[in-house]
Amino acid sequence: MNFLLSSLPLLLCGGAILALRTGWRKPAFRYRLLMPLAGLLLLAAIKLWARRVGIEFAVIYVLLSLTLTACLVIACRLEFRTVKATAPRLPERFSDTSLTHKLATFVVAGPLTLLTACLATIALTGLLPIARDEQLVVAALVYPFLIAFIIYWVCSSAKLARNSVFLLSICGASGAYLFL
Amino acid sequence: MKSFISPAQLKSSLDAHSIIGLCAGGLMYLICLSGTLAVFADYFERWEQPLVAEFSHYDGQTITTAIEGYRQRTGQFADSLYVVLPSDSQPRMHVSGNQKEWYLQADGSLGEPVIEGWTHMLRKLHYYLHLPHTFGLLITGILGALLLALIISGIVAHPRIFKDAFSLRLGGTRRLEQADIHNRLSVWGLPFHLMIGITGAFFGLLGPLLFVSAAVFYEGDRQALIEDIYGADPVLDAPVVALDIARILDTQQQRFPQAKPIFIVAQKLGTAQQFVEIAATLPGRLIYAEMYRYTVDGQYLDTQGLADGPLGRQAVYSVYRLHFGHFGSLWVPVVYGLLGLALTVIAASGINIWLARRGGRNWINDVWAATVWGLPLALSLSAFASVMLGLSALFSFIATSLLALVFCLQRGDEQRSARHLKAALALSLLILSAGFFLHFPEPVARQLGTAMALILTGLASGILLLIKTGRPLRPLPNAEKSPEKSRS
Repeated sequence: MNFLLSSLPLLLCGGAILALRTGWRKPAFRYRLLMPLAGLLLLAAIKLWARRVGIEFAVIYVLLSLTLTACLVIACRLEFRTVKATAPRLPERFSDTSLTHKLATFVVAGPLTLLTACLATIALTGLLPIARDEQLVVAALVYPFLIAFIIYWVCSSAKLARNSVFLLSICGASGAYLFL
Repeated sequence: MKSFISPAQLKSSLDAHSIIGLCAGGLMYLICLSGTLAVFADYFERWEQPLVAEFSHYDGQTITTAIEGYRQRTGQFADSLYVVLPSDSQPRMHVSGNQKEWYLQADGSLGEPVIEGWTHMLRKLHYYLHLPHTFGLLITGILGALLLALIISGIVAHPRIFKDAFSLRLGGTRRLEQADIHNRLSVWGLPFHLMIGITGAFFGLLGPLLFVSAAVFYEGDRQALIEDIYGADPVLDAPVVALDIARILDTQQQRFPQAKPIFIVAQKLGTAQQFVEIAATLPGRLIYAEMYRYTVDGQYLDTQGLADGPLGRQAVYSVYRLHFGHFGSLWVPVVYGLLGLALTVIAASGINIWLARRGGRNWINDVWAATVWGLPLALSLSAFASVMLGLSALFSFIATSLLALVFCLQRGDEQRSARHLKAALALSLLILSAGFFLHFPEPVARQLGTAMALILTGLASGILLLIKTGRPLRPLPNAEKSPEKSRS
């Protein structure tokens, strides 16, 4: 009985994934109903786990269980393609750029991004109406995201010079705001 | 459904995804692989030193004996003297301070020293890549941020990634097969990958942030800033009295019966500022531990406020357990291990897709084969060299990695090289499990050895299955003759 109770949230997660799988991208109304059903099953799983281990662990357990059960469902419905040759293709911009351009991109997306994100994060979180230590914690959690977004932006844009100037401006403005 | 992203934006996002992935490539793979193994570090440590006494009961006398034993062995108390208590994953105690560390017998007397062997090397590899600590931590933090950048660019660049969330098709071309594996594992592992990326980046990037924040807000006083975030130590000035651990443990049990102590720190023993901290986990809380502070004669002082202090402090103190999966039962590290392995496969398949897309082949294919299969082989052989032969784990790891690299470059055929490296890896895992029983014939080591042997044999069987089921691929022409090269 105890085992059944402890594995019930896991079964609910599995049920949610099966419901998602059954109704995935199907337009009929009865399939669309499966989406909220999956959501309800997940909420029930979180609720059950929260009673046993607390809400913090319950959310993590549900996320981990979802991933595992989804991988199992996918593995069970594995398909095989017929072998067909396709022409290889490379991202043109990457293969066509010069070494200098690659190095410049590295400098902008690397050290300049780190510095700009660091100063901008501290400057922006310093404006939040919360205590200093709370501001620093928010900064520590925002900083990686800001770096990630800037790196993505720099690498996806062809205008490296414009981006560099923009980053340098932000870096300078944040530095001036913080240190002057 | 109409897409909100133009084809040009899609293409540039895909370019960004490729560029970031290629730059992070090998290091990301190494961090993911070492992190997957590091989840089980506690178990590896037990396996590495299987003759250490294992027990779960201790009392005040055990800890007092341990602290006194440390003082007698080193001639002084450490400024911060740690007594680590038995846990589910590591039912053994050890005492440490000033870089000196011993396991304890059940009565608290000092046993064999804690060796800095293979597990230590594995942890350092994951934390710092064996670079100088500040720089290494920054690099691993940047890799965490790059993982986030890859997640963002990957989602933007693949509008069908959620539409195809449930379809996995193997076969066809290598690129399509690898792309399907890459995308399916990525989309369903997304919450885990975000969690690992954010927490990993947090560890590594906290340094520069603290440095600048201290300069701006605390006139360069980093200690003041850290105390503001994590809470300050109590400042005492009392006559020196004898340590009464039994009374401290009794008071702790009476006041906080729900807290489970994980380690005890004796601070500044033998001085007027001496006090004792008990770090304890709380049920239902993700925070690493709450610190309960006592005078050495057992008077309760306060807590550090990690469980009920400011929300930010609680969040910061929850990062470690979230990143390493140190909570719950044994199933949690197992699931972390599986999802970590999935992230490792994603890192490898990402580069495989790039290699397949560019067509042709050159030395990069060989280097990549040496990375993907040479590094696990190096980890396995370094474990053997360190545990069975007493050689340096780091030296063995580097030497084997270089040998694998030279082997692959010399062969110039990444598919055959990979097959041979896989076979060598399977063989080394079997030798590792068998070698353990020869090196530690004592009955006390048998249980740990058997458990590890079963896991290693399972892994070796999986790799052999991979070799057997792996389809032969068409030989690729040299990259120099490929259509892309001739076009450019």
